[in-house]
Amino acid sequence: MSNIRTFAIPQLYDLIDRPRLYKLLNSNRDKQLILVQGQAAQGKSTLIASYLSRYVLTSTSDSLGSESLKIIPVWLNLSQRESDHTNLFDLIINALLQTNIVGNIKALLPATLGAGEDSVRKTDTLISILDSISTPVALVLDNLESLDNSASSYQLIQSIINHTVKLQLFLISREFPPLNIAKIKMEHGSLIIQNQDLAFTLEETEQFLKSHYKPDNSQNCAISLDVVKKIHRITEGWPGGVALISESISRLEVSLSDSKDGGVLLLNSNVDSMPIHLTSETLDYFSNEVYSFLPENVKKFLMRASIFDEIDEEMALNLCDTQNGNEILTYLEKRNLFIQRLIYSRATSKFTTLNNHPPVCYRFNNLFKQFLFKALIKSISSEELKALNIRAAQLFEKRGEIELAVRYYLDGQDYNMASDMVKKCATDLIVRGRFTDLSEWIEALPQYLVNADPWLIYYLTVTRRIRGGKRNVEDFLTALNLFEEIGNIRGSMLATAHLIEAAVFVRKSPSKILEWIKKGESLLLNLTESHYFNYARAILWQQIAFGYIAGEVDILKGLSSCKNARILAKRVKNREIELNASIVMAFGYVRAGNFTGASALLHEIEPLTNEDIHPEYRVLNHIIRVDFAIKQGDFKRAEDYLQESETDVERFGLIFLYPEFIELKAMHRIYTGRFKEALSIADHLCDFSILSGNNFYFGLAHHIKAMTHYHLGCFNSFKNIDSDSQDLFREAQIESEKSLSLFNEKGEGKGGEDSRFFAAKTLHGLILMRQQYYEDAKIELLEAFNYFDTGLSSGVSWCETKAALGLLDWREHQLNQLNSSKELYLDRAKKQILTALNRAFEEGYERFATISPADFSQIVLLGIAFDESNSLLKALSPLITGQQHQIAYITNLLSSFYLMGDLNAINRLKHIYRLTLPKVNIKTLGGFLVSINNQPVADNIWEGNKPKLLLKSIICHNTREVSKDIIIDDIWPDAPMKSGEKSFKINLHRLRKVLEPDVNKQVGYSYITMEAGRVSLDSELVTVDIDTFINLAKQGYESLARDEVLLALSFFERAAECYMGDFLAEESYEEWIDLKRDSLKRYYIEMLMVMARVYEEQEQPFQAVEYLKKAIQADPLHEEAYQNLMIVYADAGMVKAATALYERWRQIAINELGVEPDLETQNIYKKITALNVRRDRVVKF
Amino acid sequence: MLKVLVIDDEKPILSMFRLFLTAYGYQVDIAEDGKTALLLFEQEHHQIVFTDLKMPGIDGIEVLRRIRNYQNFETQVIIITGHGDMDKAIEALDLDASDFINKPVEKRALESALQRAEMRIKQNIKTMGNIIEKRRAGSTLYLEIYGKLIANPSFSSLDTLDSQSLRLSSNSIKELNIKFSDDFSINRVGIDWLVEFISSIRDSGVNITMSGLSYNYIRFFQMVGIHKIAHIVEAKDE
Repeated sequence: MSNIRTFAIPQLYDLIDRPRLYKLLNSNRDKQLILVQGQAAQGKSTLIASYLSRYVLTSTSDSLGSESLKIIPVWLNLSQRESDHTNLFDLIINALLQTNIVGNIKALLPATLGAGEDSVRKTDTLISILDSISTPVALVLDNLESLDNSASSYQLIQSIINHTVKLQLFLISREFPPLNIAKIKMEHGSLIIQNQDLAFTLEETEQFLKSHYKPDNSQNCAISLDVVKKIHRITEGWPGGVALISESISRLEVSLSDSKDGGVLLLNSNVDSMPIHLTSETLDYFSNEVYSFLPENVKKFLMRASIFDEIDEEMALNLCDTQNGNEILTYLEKRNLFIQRLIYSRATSKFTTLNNHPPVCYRFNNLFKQFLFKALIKSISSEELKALNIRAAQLFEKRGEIELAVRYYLDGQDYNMASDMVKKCATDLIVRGRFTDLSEWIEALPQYLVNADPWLIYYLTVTRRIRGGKRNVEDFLTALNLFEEIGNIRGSMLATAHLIEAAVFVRKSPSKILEWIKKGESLLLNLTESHYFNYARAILWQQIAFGYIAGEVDILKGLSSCKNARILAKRVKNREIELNASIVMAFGYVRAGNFTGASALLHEIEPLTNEDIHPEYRVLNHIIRVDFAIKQGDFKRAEDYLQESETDVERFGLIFLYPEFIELKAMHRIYTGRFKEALSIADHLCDFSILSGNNFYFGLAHHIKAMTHYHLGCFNSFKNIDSDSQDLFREAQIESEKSLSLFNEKGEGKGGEDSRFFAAKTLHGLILMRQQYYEDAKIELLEAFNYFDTGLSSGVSWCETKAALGLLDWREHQLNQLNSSKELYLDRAKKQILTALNRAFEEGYERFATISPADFSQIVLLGIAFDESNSLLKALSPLITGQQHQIAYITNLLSSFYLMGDLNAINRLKHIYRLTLPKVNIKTLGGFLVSINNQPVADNIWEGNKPKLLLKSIICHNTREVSKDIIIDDIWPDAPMKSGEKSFKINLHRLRKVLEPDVNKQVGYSYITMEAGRVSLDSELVTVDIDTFINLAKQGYESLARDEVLLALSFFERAAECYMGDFLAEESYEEWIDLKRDSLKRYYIEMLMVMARVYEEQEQPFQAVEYLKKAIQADPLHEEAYQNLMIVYADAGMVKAATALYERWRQIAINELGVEPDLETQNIYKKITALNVRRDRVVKF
Repeated sequence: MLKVLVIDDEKPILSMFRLFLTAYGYQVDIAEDGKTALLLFEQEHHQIVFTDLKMPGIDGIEVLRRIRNYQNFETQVIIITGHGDMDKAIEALDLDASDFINKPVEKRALESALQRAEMRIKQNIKTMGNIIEKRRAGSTLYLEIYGKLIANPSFSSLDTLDSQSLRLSSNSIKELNIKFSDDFSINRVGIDWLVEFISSIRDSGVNITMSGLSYNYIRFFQMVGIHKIAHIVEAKDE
């Protein structure tokens, strides 16, 4: 009855008020799971319905004292059909949609390219929706015991339990459900209410009997406590039992007698004759007790009503042959006898009531319903029962409730009508993913009927579209043949569409898939009226596209078919087909290596979907992100995306994306130097290729191997392992030739895998270039470039092939130095490399896909050298910075440009050369230490102390443009001028050799430069700790001036950490150092005093104490620091520490300076002492 | 939906098998070692098990042995063999492995193994016993081998048939056509008998043709060298 189902709290008559249980529930309203488990008629649903009504509807003044909370109740009455997760999913989603708490639920039915478990998709979708809801929901799953024990729905329910969402889940069940709730129980996230909790206490039993048993309002009646006790004992507090006894005895003969309390009802009914223990198993007995007293027409009505799950006024009137069915139902409901009233909202109801009252519907207690149904089949013949079912089916059909009509036609064995009804609602069921119902109904039809009807075969096969495997191909083919026999074009189109899909799913050969694609294309071509069958045409185009792309037939044709499918889907406003076609198209782009196109398309369809619910979309996005991350050199991010993609591909059976994922994984390993892993992945791709019977992947595997050998060869050649490199390049060439041959087999020029074929050609050209087969390399690279120049693929391939051609021209230029064509080569190299790099820079490519880092660096260096505008220097120099292995190549390049006499290029290369040199760090605070590339320079390298002193002198005079005279005066003050100059030169040379042992003669010394007798340290290459210290302190003062106190303190703290001791403390006899040392120390102490003040203002006395102590440690005679520290101590209540500090300072002042502390210090001391005395007095009083 | 268990210590192989078998419409479980596999098997009672032979800990042979001990012959156990695993493969056949496929696994081999396994499940074939039927037409002798060839076979016809009697009548027989039924399998003793049987006949100058063998058994017979003695006819695809 899903189409008219309601999800409001059922209206149940309370047996009695149960404040103890409401309080229990209310005190557990933070719990994610409430499980109410107990026998039938134990008042489980009544309790939760009653509690939720109060909890949600009461205001702040309610009896529970709780605040009115915005929580939306959603009540679901489950039946066996919800055992299937699809039906439960459908029910929950419909319920949530009715509450309006979920906004626009995008594409609830996922596109499916994979064969993974559907329940996983549904679970992900549901969790995603629940995550997005704005208002908390109380989701009640009533009659949970109706689900089969092995129901797939339990997985869905378990995921709700496991996932923290804005939802309180109420499970109401007779049995303990097969769910794992141990974890949530351990985390105190659940409340379990069971039989013993639900059972009436004696007081509750008495309360119920007194309130319920009112045979005559005119009489002042009562039940004696003994009877109450007895009833309580035999029912063990079972509310259903208490209600039944009450009902039963009210129908027996009772007598009244006076008592001392006045009119007291004495029950003479034979309570003693009742069973000793009354449980739900004895319900039949009492059902009979109640039932047998009913008039015949009522009995007849109830029996007939038992064939329905829910019954409304119209059904009662039309199907149960009674005028007063509604009255009977109302009577039973008010007596709380086995019936629940459900109120349908008008918005969801498809029918109107007879008297314009809100439509009301009833549901029997399951046990009572079974009791009634047993009575029914005893009282009427099977033919009569069939007729009753058929009448019900006809009513439902008339009311447009087709799914119910199917069920009752099936029960009435009117299979022709059932078949008609199935066909009527099949598409809707398919769209909603309710495959279980559809397949069960079709399978319930006689086999001969199904076998003769292509629609039934088609629909049945669609229900197992994902997991049907090879059988689907046969069955869709059977349907197609039958459709063709009867000339049904729409059916033929749909069957062909699904046939193509099924063939792709089971990895049929491309030629077989093409055969059915051709069939589909011919159907589309022969369709004379273009406006007919838009849906079928759209789906057929989509599946043709899928066949072309995922079936590895022809990517370009696939992309074109995707476009057709998308246009048609938009025209018929079918978002699912539009989304699926778009995803297939994005997949096609990825297969073609056009990641930019794929990314743009996925961005475009983002409003149709989201990553949470469409794994295909998510994986494609991830694959594109991996590609981008790799191109940006962010390998960590790429690795994360790869891991997520791997999980999704396996979890959702996305076999078509597997090779793409594997290829990217291998590329990632190559770029990160994990060559062995890359080769092992390539082997795995070979296995995949063999298993899928597809040589293209074999080609891809060889391409990966060629890439690996080429990259490893380049890597080794940097390390000067040239012999190994050449072996590797030869190996790369063999693999590359194999991949080209296999890609070629696939069909060069057919448009299938062209971009990959030509990318393989680029690689082949690069490998040949490395082996100095320049002519062959040029042929390969030119062929590739001509293809990429047509604009069919992404710009990155164009750029790298163009750049590779430039590199090749440069190599030829080098080789033909004595030849007249050398200028031509140079000119071409310059043009090609600059064009490639400028475009790459404009389009944001920081890496190329195929070219090894070594070859890429050479291209970048050449680009920088060639670029007269200097724009590439700034843009590309970060790619070279710190790459010391480039030094040899830059040196070679410099030689070439020296020969050409291009001074500007030489200067640019020199600049780059400097950037590749290791960095020098000089520590002067708390001990002198020079480190190159974080490696300390050993003492024996220095050739004496003078080079060190020379460096110290440069540092003392602020490192920039220090006059050599000043340095000579510092180090050799007494030497004659000539001798001083000579010593300076010798020691400057020694110093430079220490810092730069392998100096490049063309570039000269880089770390220490001298111009016009002034010496400087290169600020980009050399870092001195005092500069860092002063810069940090300055930033601290600047932040403080802007009132950014926390930022200021952070800078100061870092500066304080830098000051690890006095400046060049080991040089205690050099006056020129003393001045600098004192100045730095003053600066340091001043900063510490400021820090202490700021911390004190921030009411952080302990930090203030810490920095004041540091100030005293740096200068033990700094009286102001003592004063401030005394004040901070006193303010913090540490008077003793303050006075002790004063005494300490007094001793130091007398001993070191021969004076008493300053008057101000003494005053501070006195004030603190007075404070102490006052405190003492206070204590004494 | 048939339940399939795949056991291999290489995770990429497992991933690949899972993807393919799921696409084919099976419910697939995977295990990276024998111990996990047996636990899974006890819970799920898979109808088809693919197992690699070489694994650390409990290897494929032991998995097969325990499955056979656990429930007799109902599960189709398909052995995945690598290069040089011939002895192990034969040991597996002795333990009533239903079939085997070679690494790297070819599409045809996998599909053939699955087809045979499904057929055996459907027909509830217990892989026990064997029978050979004999028919003669002119100078051609037709033999049909059913079931598992595990020892000197019994013959359905009243005539005795062994290499000796064949040799005696070989004057008039020019061709021997051996057809293997869909449920054919073999073990070590069966292989020895078959090789000896057809070798002796071939020595008498009779041309021998074999047909009906599954893709995997053709590969297996090639590994054993039978293709050098007899002409093996391969079935056509699709």
